[in-house]
Amino acid sequence: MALDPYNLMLIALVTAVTLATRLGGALIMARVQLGPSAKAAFEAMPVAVMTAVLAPAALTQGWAEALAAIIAVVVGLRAPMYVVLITGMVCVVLFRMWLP
Amino acid sequence: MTSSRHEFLDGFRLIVPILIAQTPFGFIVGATSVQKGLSVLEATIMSATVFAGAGQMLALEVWHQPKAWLLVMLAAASVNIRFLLQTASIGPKISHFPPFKRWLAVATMTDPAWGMSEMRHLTRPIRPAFLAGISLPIYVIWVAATAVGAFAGQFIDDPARYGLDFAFVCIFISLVLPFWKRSGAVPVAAASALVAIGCKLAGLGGLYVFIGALAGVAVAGFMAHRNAGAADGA
Repeated sequence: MALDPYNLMLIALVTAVTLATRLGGALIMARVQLGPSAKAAFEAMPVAVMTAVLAPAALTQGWAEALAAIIAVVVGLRAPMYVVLITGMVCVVLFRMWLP
Repeated sequence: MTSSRHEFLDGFRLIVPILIAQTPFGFIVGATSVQKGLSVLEATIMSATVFAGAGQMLALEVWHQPKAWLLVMLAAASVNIRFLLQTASIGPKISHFPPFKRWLAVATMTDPAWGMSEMRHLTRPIRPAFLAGISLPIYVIWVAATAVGAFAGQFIDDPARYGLDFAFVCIFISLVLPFWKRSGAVPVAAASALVAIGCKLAGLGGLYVFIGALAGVAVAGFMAHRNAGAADGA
């Protein structure tokens, strides 16, 4: 059960930033009036970040990953996360056997 | 007393399906943590203190890159910035809580707790026991699932063989799909995806996430600006 200083430092930083986003809303944002553009930009941030993480990871690794990701999106339109997880992982393992 | 118990159970009943759905997510975050070089204890501490799955997953992606201390903070800030808006909206609706309970509720805010609270507020005031019935089970299950996933993850030496390296993509697909269905999200997502892929192919390293996200946010701001202008002009 090792505790590594490097890991603990990074965990502390991630914790501090996350806590700041939670407390900051109640402390500061509740008192600030945002304009429509700024508000829309803030609200778009999660979708923009997650898409920017996802698209390259899904589509630039190879055909197997890209195809499995597309299937996972179609399944995910209807099914919960654990179904998407199982389908995606099974598909990628199978496709890696057959596709480059 | 009885009424508090009712409130707690009300919250708990609402959250059961989400607890079931979040358990495999916790397993994967735990397994990913040990694969990135965290011990089981460190992985569990991280889940207990950060308590935000998407942020943890994204931070772990950049854990070993140069300037990781800066990249993990950017990673956590960028996906968790939604909490800023959520707690800004919930804050005034729970201002009648005693201070300790109010800050605890805000510090443990999650997407489901926020969504359920907003829904509750439409029909009746939010009570501390109601939020406790939501947030406490989510917290316990999250930390436990991560610990189990981290423990099991130690024994997997070739994650790619089981498609485990692809779990990251599947999880973000599940997380982002509800957002893609919202109005106005498609141009934002398209801009983020195209710019991020372009930057990745151009060899910009870990920066592609932030440049791609910036493109999406700029599109959202521009669309709102244009809509506001159209409304004024009409």
